[in-house]
Amino acid sequence: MRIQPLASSLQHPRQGANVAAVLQGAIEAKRSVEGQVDWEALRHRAHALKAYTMDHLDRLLVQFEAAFQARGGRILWAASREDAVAHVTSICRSHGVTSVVKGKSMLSEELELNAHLERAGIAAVETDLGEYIVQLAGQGPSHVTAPALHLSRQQIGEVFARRLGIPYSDDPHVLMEAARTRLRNRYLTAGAGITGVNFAAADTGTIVVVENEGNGGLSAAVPPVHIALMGIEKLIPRLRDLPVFLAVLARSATGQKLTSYTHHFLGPPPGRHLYCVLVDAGRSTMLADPRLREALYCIRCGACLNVCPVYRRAGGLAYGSTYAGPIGSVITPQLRGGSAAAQLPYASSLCGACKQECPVMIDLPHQLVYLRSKAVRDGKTADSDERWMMRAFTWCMRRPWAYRMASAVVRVALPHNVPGLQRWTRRRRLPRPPAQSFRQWWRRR
Amino acid sequence: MNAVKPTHDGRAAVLGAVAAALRSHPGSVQMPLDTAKRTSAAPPDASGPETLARTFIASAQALGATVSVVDDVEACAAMLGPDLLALACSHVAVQSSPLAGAIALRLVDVHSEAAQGMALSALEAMPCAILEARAFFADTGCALILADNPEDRVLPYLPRTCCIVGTLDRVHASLESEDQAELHVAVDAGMRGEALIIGGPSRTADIEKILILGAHGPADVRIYLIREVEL
Repeated sequence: MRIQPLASSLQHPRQGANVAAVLQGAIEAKRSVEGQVDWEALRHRAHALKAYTMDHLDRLLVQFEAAFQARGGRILWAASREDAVAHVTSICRSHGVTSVVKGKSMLSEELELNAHLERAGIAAVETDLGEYIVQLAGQGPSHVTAPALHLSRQQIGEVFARRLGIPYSDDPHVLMEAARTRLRNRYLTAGAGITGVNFAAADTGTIVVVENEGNGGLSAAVPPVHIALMGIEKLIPRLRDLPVFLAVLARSATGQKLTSYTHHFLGPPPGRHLYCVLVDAGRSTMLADPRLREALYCIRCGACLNVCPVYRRAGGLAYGSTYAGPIGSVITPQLRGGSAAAQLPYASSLCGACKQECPVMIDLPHQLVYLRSKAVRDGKTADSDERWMMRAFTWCMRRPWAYRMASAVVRVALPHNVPGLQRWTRRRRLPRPPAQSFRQWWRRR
Repeated sequence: MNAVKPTHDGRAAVLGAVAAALRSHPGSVQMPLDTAKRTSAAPPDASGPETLARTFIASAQALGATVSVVDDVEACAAMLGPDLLALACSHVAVQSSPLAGAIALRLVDVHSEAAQGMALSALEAMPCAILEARAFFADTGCALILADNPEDRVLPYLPRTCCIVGTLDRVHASLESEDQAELHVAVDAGMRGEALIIGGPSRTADIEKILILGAHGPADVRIYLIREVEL
């Protein structure tokens, strides 16, 4: 199993130090606010509500559509990524939009929306500071709630100086002010604002977006057209169920009791337009598989990333997909397909920390193991070398005499630079083998 | 008139796929019962308004907001006016609400203007906004703002200073749904626009997790709790 960009993501020592310290801080912040509430009760309730939602998704989607449109909004349905992009482009064209401002939306990253809009002659600028930074840097987000986590302030200062033409500074306050000033005019001149959706209440047709910066509110409220991109799994049954999810999301994502802004969008005011693009794009495939349905409960808090030993070491860009970490390794093969995505479930030590941490109690380790077995069945596993080695191992383990002989050979060969193992040993130190096997030691006792 | 027609094929495709998925493996989860046990650690409303106010003040201050308790509308204006002048804010944009308007009228040496009807570029230039909170939530230090027109919707974000006024009896213990009556009433009445729950200044930690207040929204949030209001 290889994660292709792993080597490059480890090349910059400061990147690794940045990520580890920051993630540890996020974990400690979460712990401190968990203790202020009945955390397990919240997790169980959030899990139960999401389970109910997925088990009744067809009815709830229709209910949401009716309630949303009764408030003057318009629903557009997208079965695929291409449909979603086509809807957004079509809305922009119908309103004569040539520039959009974007609040943070992982779904828009999944759709590669910015690139498509640019090709359609529509300029798209990210307004979340982290997303704005990685957009200027020509990179993708490395963490679901902290997109520029992998960049140091010096690197960000260099990006700003190069792309914005401002004097170099690594002072975060100066950099934020530069971003704020430049984005202000973009808000006022944009023809449309695009946001994601954190939750949508089926009974009232309410769209809920949470954030800390205020860019989401500005993106939705300033331009005359608001386009909300929403995965079909974001529904919750009732508006009165929302407080549970707000409590677990803020605590898990940023260690806050609540984010600075919780927007309940209730339909367009007079003279404005509100569209909601409901996106499937592989989500119904997960819904159909009872062992993967739970992955749809995800509220995109990033807590599983923060505790994952693989993510902490490799960083988000190493996964080569929109969603990183344990949840990314589960959902990316379903959303993207392909042999490369089928390898992602192997990017895990199966330590179970993600399951412990998940605020909606998704059993990620079991899903990862299931996906590994599925990859084997589908013939999407690793290369022939690994398959040959596993067959040889199986043959040897079934024959005690062969096992004893192989153990003796390994004890002799291990300290030496064995041909064929150089790729494995380039960054790993092999253990020193014991002078005798356990059986030999036992016989001599 | 809406410019984009619904795509019925997309609707049929998505709903068909979802229905097929549920048919192949129907779920059996029933709606979870609403638990009587509160999951929040905040004291219930029965604690009394002064107790809740103290909890709210502590929570809001922890977020970086400043909170003042005043006796009435005149006292609020008498405190708010000098606060604004100290910040060099001689102009304020005012939400279309009776309470915010009443306080704005009583400000001395501060020019107030109704936000509704103002151009967005003019609102952007305003240094301060006054909004009315329909509810406050003690456990999180947050306030509920209802905005049903485009100009009121941008008021919480555009000016650098955001002043929120509201009555003490609207402080609730938490965001548990039974404490959000004002929100549910507005939603059930068919309100359009936005219901915003705002907790302290705008913030970001996207650069090395260093906290910066005043990202895209205001860096300064001031809350005035009024004991008695007669308009």
